[in-house]
Amino acid sequence: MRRLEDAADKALQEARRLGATAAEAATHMSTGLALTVRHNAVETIQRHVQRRLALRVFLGKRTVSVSTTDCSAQGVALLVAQAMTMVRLVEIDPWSGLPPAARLARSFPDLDLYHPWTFTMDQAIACAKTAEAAALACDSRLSPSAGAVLSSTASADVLANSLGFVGKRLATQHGLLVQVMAAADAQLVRDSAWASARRAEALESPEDLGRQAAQRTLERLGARRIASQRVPVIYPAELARGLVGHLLGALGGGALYRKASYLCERLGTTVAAPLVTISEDPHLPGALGSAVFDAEGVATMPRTLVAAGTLQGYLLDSYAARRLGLATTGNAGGAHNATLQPGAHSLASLCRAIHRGVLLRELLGQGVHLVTGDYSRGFAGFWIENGAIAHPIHECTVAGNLDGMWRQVQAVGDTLDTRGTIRSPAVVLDDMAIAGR
Amino acid sequence: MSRFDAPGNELDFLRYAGLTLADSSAILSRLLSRGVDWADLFFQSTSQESWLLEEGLVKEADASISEGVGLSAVCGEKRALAYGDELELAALRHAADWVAAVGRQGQSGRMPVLRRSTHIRRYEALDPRTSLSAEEKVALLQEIDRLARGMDERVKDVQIALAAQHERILVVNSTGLVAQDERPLCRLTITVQVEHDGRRERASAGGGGRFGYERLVLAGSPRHWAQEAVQRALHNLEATEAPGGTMTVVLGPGWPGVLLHEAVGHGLEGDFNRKGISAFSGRLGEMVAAPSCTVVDDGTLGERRGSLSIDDEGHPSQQTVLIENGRLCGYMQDAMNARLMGMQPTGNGRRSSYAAAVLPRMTNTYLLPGPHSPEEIIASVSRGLYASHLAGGQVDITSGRFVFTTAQAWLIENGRLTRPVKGATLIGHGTKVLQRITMVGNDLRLDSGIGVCVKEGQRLAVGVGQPTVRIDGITVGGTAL
Repeated sequence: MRRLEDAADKALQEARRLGATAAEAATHMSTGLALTVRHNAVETIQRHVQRRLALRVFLGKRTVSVSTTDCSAQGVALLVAQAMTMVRLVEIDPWSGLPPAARLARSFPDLDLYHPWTFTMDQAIACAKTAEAAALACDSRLSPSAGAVLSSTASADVLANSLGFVGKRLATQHGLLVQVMAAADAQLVRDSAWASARRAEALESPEDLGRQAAQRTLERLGARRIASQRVPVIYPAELARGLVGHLLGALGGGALYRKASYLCERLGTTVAAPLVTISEDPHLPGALGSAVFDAEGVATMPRTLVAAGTLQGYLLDSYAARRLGLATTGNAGGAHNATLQPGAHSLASLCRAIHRGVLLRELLGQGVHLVTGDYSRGFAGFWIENGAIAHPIHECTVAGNLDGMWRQVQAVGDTLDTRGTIRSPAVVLDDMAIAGR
Repeated sequence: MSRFDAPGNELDFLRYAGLTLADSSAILSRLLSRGVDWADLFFQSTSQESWLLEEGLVKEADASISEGVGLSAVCGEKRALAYGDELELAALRHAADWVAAVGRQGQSGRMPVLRRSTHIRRYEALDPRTSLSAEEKVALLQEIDRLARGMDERVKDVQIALAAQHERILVVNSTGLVAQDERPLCRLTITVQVEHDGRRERASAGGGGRFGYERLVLAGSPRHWAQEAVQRALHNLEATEAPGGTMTVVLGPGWPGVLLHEAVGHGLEGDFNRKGISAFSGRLGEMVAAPSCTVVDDGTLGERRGSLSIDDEGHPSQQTVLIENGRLCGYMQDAMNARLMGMQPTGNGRRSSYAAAVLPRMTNTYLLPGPHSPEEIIASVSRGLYASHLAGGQVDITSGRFVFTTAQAWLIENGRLTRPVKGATLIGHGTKVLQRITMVGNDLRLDSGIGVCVKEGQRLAVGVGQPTVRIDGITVGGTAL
């Protein structure tokens, strides 16, 4: 950490020495391990040590960004020299600059993000083997696809700027993934189960993950196509996170000032059904999206983005804020633990409430257009008939428009998926276009 | 600007890291003595820059340098990889001791004498960033901005990104091979935003390849791409709901070759087939497409975005026939999967950087032309969809199901293009869709140099291409049911 601070400091000093009017330096170091087990044998083991120095320099209202993996004194000097050459060539951007000094984080509470996994290599391998074995033991039709993948990364970051801000952060992230496939009647299907957390003890047990992966794969066997129709669709929590992500994308400052979002100028208006409340909780201890300061050093704060369907706030960095005549919301680099507030229904009870409809399992493709909100994606999932799952389905598409989709949220599940920086329960959309046979 | 920037041979390349070829050889030798089957050292230096124009101003520029080394050791089906940005000998020795953990005890191989690879250059060894001065880059962006804005009054904003990277690699492996490559890559992307009657749309076009910036300009391409971007955005401004359901679809030439990339390309990568997890596993020799379909992967095309003189394991790139007249006849291989499957490497071993494991990956993948004119193909359809441009795609290689999304499409009614329709995702099954290709056009085109493929988180430059094709029955994910 000391070395990272020194490197950031040197870069700032060198930038000032070469005439920069302001500068921001970010240094990063990470070490990690990833290993894959297939058929009860190690297939790959990977280890890494990486460093990076990123620098933004300002010359009045001109700015450029540069970065390097060479954090030696010579590397830093070369980088700054290159930045100072380039910055004289770009044009004046009246909105460029560091964030307001008053908004920079001043207190740095420990958010409990750093818990190195102290395993031996043999223990790590045993953990992955256990997960794979637990999956394969469930049914003879199963065989490994990716097998079991265990990963663990520890990182240190320093962010410093010429306003005197220095922010530090230590974090870890550990993960375990089990992916298996099953074959029956000339159909080959694949599914997985995974866990991700800052603390190894918070991961689900390898046995549980293995069993989940097996079950999730087996229940996809025998999939059929269904006829084109309009029906209610359940997004389980893991996929609802994606829906929340699209909404956040449309609330991003860059999309807004470019008028490239379907949510432009919608502050204070209805953007979702009344049962939709989305908060941002940056200071949750141990959560994957927690941060005291954003990518510019601005203090983060808990707030409400969507309150009972009404849009309360955007996601702005200081640049976008100046463009829009607003104040930064501490969202340089994105949202921190954006959370769709859970409701009262289990996934099973959400299914029971549906006469004929679809429960999604997997979405395919990038058919989401934030300028218009148009949404069209491939999927695999399950057909619901009279409140119960009738059979798996595949090779169909689900389409709508995000604006309409969020307004017709009919129910929200009771269990948050917390395996990422976006947290969501399941969501039921009332009326989606399914194209199939 | 980097430690590796000095021109010259691989010895210079190493000297900047304070290393010699003998050091590399000693490290590999140490691994062989610890019972690994095969090992390699991959040194890489990539310098990248981009210039961005928005709202008429060149107001963003960025540059980055990434340098490091990856050390891989393979023993049977096991592979260990250590990578980092520390290029010192001590760090490499430490990494070697670590990756040696996959070795078999009691076995010991000997390091052969080093030999240089001989291969044909598919592009010039140059730094594309230096082919225009910074002032010329700024002036070019401003000129394209004026051009695009002048094309239609509904154009409200233009964003232009000019980017280039200069990559140098050196591979030394335990068979004694020493291979190096210097790879230029540049790209221009024009995005326009149009607005009319309160409705907004955005669309992009662009291109590039393994050459310097000046070549982007020479061909008059910026005007062409600006026109394409404006036309696509205006098209979508007028587009109405896309149809939903299974129907006949005609895909235009060039970039819609994303179809092949997703429908068959990934499924024919060696790793998936060795593990038996691809829908194409064990199907060599079988008819998997209509007899009119011949699909190749070709890394040898001069200066194309997906081309390589050598792959990231030092093997020369080649043209690999994947499907010939409908019959499956080849996989794309890296060294490890080729060895384990008893096949030859095909020059498809690629890695996004020193910080990633080699995987079998595509280069330029395309469908060879057939007998029909594109007009004839469209005229043959009584009701269906025509797409001239696609956004990205994705495939589940196990089930063989794949998707791609249209970015410019029309309804076909009675053999004619009628109304523009919004983007929709199309979903199908790889071999079923290929077997439903009933007409192949005579207008083969490769894309303009914009492709990015992601596999296991690794992003790589690729090319795609095809002539116009007619597919009888694929599901279109529109909202108009």
